[in-house]
Amino acid sequence: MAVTLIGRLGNLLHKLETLVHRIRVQDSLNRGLPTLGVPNFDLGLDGVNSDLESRLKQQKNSESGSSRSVIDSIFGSILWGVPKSRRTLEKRLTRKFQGKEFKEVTAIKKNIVACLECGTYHEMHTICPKCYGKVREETAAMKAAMGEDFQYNHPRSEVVYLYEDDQEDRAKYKGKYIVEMKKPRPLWFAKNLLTKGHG
Amino acid sequence: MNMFRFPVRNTPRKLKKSFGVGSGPAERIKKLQMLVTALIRNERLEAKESYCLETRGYAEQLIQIAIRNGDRHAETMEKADYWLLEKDLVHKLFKVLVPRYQNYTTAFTDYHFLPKKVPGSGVQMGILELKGNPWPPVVPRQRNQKYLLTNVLISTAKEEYRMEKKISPDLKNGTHDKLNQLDNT
Repeated sequence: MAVTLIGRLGNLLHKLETLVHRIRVQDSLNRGLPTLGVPNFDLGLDGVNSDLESRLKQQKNSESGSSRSVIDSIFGSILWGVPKSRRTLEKRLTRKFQGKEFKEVTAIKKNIVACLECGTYHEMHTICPKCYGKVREETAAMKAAMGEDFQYNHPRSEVVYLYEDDQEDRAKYKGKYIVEMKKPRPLWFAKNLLTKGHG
Repeated sequence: MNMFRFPVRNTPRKLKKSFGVGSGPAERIKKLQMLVTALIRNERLEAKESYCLETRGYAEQLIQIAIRNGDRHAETMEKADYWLLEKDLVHKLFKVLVPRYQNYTTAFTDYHFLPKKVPGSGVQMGILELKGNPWPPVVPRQRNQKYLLTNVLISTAKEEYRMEKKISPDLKNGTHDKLNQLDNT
């Protein structure tokens, strides 16, 4: 394990050294300084060497003495801009509570009304939550009174729920499925809801 | 041909995440089938606003087709079989709901907003119900507010103010004819 690591590190160091050396050579060429200690790339191919020299000359002409471009090309893609200073607490808090949900909660509601039945406050376009809770409980009791037929074998006629007070109307609902509710009718669930009351 | 009796959106709602993340149009239809069956059975439903309003169209269309074609029509029965997952409800559709809504000129369903929970997720919930259901009503009873004490007092105060306005120009002129008339009556 250790041996392989050391070997890899050695390879990396070697590569880095060659890279630094090349940068130095390039830099010196660009600045027009004498290249001291430059290894001779003579491989016996004159055409290739001449090409290289011509390219270097072109670079020399175009980038007159700018050594940053080479370093930028290597490290420019790695190093990005970062925040220089810490954001203050004030600024952080203002940015934190700028969201939509906070504005919705903190805005003053002008559409709140009192329920006609119980007086709980709710928004104008909604139904009263307290009255609806009562309705839910009552409907659950009604469904339970009907039994399993409600869930699995629904009656094939209109269903009527008869409370203890409404025994006189039994004759009216002939041919309908009657469910007995063994308790008096709740006060808020009046029999005839369509007529307008006074006061 | 627009057969709906309530305002309808131009584009259908996608109902993303109807069966969790990654659910598409097939899951949407599956969810809507379940909701339509629940509505026909329970006659009142509590769900998210978008789900309620989307099921409303499908349920209403089903009832309208059933009214128009009756139970001896192949396509209608096919549709009823598709949308009602529990088959005892097919009988309910043709024997209970069709006679109930035969002479309706309005929509067969109602939608009500439920209040949002605070603090909560902020989701708008609603209630979808069939009209003419046997459950206790959700909307409070309508009252005549004319005879409430505050309203009576305000109305009398208004009348008094009006009478004073009528009388005042005559008093300035010195003619008490109108006042005398009022006293006589």
